[in-house]
Amino acid sequence: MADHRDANRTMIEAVGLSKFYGEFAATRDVTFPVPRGQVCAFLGPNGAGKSTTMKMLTGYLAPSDGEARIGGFDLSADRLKAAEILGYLPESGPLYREMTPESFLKYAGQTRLMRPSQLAERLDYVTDQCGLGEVWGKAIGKLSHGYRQRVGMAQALLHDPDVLILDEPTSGLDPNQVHGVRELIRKLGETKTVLLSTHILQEVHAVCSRVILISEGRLVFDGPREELGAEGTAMEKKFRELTVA
Amino acid sequence: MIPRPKVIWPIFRRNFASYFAGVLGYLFIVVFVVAGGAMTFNARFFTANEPSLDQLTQLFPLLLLFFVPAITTSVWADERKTGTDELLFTMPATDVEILLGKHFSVLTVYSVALLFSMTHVLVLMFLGTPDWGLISTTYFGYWIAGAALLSAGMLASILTSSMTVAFVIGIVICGIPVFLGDVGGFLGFRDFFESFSLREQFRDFGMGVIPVSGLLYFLGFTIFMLYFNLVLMTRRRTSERWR
Repeated sequence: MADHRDANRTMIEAVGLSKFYGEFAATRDVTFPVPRGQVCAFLGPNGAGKSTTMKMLTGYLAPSDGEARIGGFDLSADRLKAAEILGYLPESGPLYREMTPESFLKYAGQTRLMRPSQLAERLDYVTDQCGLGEVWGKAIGKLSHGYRQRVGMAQALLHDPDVLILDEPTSGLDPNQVHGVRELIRKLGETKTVLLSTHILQEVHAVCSRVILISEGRLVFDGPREELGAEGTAMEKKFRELTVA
Repeated sequence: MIPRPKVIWPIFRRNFASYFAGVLGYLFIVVFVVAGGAMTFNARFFTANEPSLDQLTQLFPLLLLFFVPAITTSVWADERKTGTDELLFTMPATDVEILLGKHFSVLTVYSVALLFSMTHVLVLMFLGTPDWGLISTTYFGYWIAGAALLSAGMLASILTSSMTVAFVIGIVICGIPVFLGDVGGFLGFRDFFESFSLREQFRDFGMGVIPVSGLLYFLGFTIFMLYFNLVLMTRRRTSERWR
């Protein structure tokens, strides 16, 4: 198997991913590769199957059909190896409310078997990047939604993963925080592969070079951001055309 | 893959600490000790006039029936309810490591409660001279029976995202081995079923004996229930009802 650090490697790969719940198809035959160093927007209306696809790509859900690969590792066979190089921010940033950002991030780092020196170094980095200094010792349950989202983001970045899967990372943030997260994603995109789920079309313009659009569980668009239309109404119009049945 | 202690340890520690982050863990201990005390030092204890744990031993399975589900109800159900299971199951940890970390945490909470319940023994020492051999085997019996039922309680928690429902299912699942003899009696096979009941297997420990059959029973029960947990954990990835 080729090294996942290979510069030209496909880092995120959905191959015919389908997820059925009884007769209902949450996703059907979703296929796309994301090469190293690309920031890719994953768009779609509510209930289109974005989160389901992301859950299959992280190994949380097993696909009914198809394969999910991260860094070349098949999630069904090599989930642990894939998880080592993957940072994941689930939708609405679930966290342990009784923990502090400090204890939570240390827990995440230790579960990932990070060396103490490496963990200390990365804790400094994510605290700085995600602006957690002020709330470092406060219970997560007492933090605002914005801060909780940042703690989730810090957890995803902690182990310096090659691949980031972010499910609506700017949801619930104020405009300043949104700007900060977008800047961070843009910067991360220089070295990492990012798959970013969002509803916000401005976000696509701000940070993504490519767009994958799904509707009713099917992939309906995959191409450069520019092909989806110019910023603003043109993009919204194209989005509606592709997603309204 | 052999479970890695370095991965199990932080999972264990987080789960264990969660009980004592609020009042819950302390409440468990207080209720366990007070209820155990009421069962130990009842009217029969004073009539018998012997410094032993006989009264508690008779009622201990019933105490476990409520105490064990109270500890285990949040183990999986709370993770599902809050969505943190998504973080947990996407970490580079195997299902076995996660399961062991969680089981060790509830076992430690139970062990701490059991340790505090040794205040009953202090009272026995004040009232007379207890048989230390008997006290030791009895407490070992309490511990191993609790460990077995904890794995059954965890199974109840994995079946639902509601902690209340998990508590009720936990009582039902833990009640099966406890009342197996009574169920057998209803079917006309009391003696046969009674021999497989937790109360029967537990009895010898309270008489100063550590029987091999009892050890195998509780160990086998624990492993079977943990394996059942593992099966349901694996199925969650394909299940539509996990949420």
